[in-house]
Amino acid sequence: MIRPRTWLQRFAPFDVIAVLLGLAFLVTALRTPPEAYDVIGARGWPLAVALGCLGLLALRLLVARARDEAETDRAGPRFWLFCSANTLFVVILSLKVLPFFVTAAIFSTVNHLLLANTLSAARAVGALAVATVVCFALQALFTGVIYVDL
Amino acid sequence: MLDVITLHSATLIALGVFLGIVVGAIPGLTATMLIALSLPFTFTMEPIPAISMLVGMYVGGVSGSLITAIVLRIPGTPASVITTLDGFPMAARGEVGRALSLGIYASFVGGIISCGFLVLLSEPLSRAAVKFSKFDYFALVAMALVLIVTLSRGNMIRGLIAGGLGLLAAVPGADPISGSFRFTFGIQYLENGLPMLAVLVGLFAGNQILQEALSMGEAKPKDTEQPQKVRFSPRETLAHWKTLARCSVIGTWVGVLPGVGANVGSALAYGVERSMARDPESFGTGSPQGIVASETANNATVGGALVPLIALGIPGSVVDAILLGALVIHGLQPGPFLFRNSPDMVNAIFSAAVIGNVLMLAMMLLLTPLISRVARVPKSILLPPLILMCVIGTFSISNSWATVVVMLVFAALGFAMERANYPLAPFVIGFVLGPIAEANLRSATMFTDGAILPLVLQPIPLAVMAIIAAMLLVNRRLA
Repeated sequence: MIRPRTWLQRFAPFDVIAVLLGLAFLVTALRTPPEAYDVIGARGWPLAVALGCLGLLALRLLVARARDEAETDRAGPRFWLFCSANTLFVVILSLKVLPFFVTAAIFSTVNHLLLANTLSAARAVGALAVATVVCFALQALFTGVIYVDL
Repeated sequence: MLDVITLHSATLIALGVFLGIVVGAIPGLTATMLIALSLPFTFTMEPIPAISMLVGMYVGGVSGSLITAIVLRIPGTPASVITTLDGFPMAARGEVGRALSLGIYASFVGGIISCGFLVLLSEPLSRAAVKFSKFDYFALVAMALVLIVTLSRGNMIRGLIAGGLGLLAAVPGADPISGSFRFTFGIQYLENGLPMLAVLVGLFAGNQILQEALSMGEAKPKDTEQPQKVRFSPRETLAHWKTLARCSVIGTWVGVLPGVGANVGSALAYGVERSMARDPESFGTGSPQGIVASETANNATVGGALVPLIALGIPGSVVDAILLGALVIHGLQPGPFLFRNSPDMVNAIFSAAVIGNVLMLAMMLLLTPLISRVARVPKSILLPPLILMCVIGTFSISNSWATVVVMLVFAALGFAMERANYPLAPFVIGFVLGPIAEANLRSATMFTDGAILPLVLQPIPLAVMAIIAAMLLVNRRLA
């Protein structure tokens, strides 16, 4: 038997994101001074879309019977570690602490180990060696041929 | 027509087809992801070779998925889900080569016939579209958006919300009429709007990597024997010429409809063939007609989906939305004026679709054993280089790490959307078509002092509304 859901339980995490995005556009649209250069104006279109989105979200929550559509796979610690590692990867790259190929090789190895779910030292060393060669070649290709400022 | 394709372009089409087949064959990776990821790397190319390569990827991506659908019972992409119904049972009883042969030749015939429709339909449609008013155009864009929402996966309200969010994501930046900055939230970076490429790479490549990372470690299903020494013959496929003809037409027309993908095309064709078959009970047990129906139709959707993109500038699918973005990035305006302003590009797209299908046939016949082995490479080896390509690709758009951050944000957003069963297609179509819809609507209302009704009561908007109603009815019947 499906138990009745509370209002809070009807929210999926993305609903919250969508509400916040809709509100951000709504508030900004309302705060934009009216423009006189055409009939709809600079804020008319976003205002209409944002209001529409929020209305639909409210409707969705009203008609949502249960969280039957809720996700099936639970995101475990390994997944969050994977996300954190890749965010850190971009942060370190942007700070240019190490040459691109070194950072890329290290994080590619970390990604490989996380995805393979192993802590084998031998595998880590092998992966790091391969990743270093590949990343060095990629850096040479992109900086030398395509002129990307890595 | 073919003279616009140089050896350089032909080589890139071959590369595109090969990559498309390989990526299409790898379960979890799609042609959409490949094309989104490849877009930044086409910046330095000339438009014709760049777009030709992307079209090659599109053709290869839809075709490659049949290999794993038949050999592993895991369709590389949703386009080949229906192929597993008969392909795998046939392979399981030791007829891997026969199943692959039927699928490969059917894919080729479906693709080539749909290219014929593409060439025949695009120009007349674009000539008619030149006469469209601003509001007619807005009505067409709105129709594309509504149909994609209603026909996409998930429920309609979620689709509408996703489409609305896509429209909102296109708002920050310069106002399309006045050019003044709006909705930048005080962030200078947003004055140029959200970079389309970073958004697309994030939504399709970044998000897909996250989905794969989440599902790593799931048990793999049994597979059949390796297709190492198989002989391919077109004879049996061509014996099903009626099925080939019917399913090519079905696939092409399904492709023309906005938002209806190759998976729907193959399912519809399969259903029609089963209902017309003398032995419908054989379907699902390794029927050759089932394989031919599914693979003909899913490949035929490619040519069909390119028709509205080229003739109207309205993408029929997510891949077409990305191709539309690619054309814009290369300084071309898809739509009715593409024929007049860039006839070489139109010919290049036609040629790339035809050459892509020929190359797809050759590669699938020669490389299927190799590709089926590549598809078994563990994701722990495949994904780290893809992550690197996402980062380098988005960074190369503007040599800015802020663009990479946008990609990461949209990867997370796409992931959250899919986890909550919000379809991505309406978001992307809204994001790509939003500026076109807004600019046309606002330009049109400037002539009527803001009144909408006189604009709606014109023949084309009325016809568009009738089409939407008819499509919704058809959709309800199909559902």
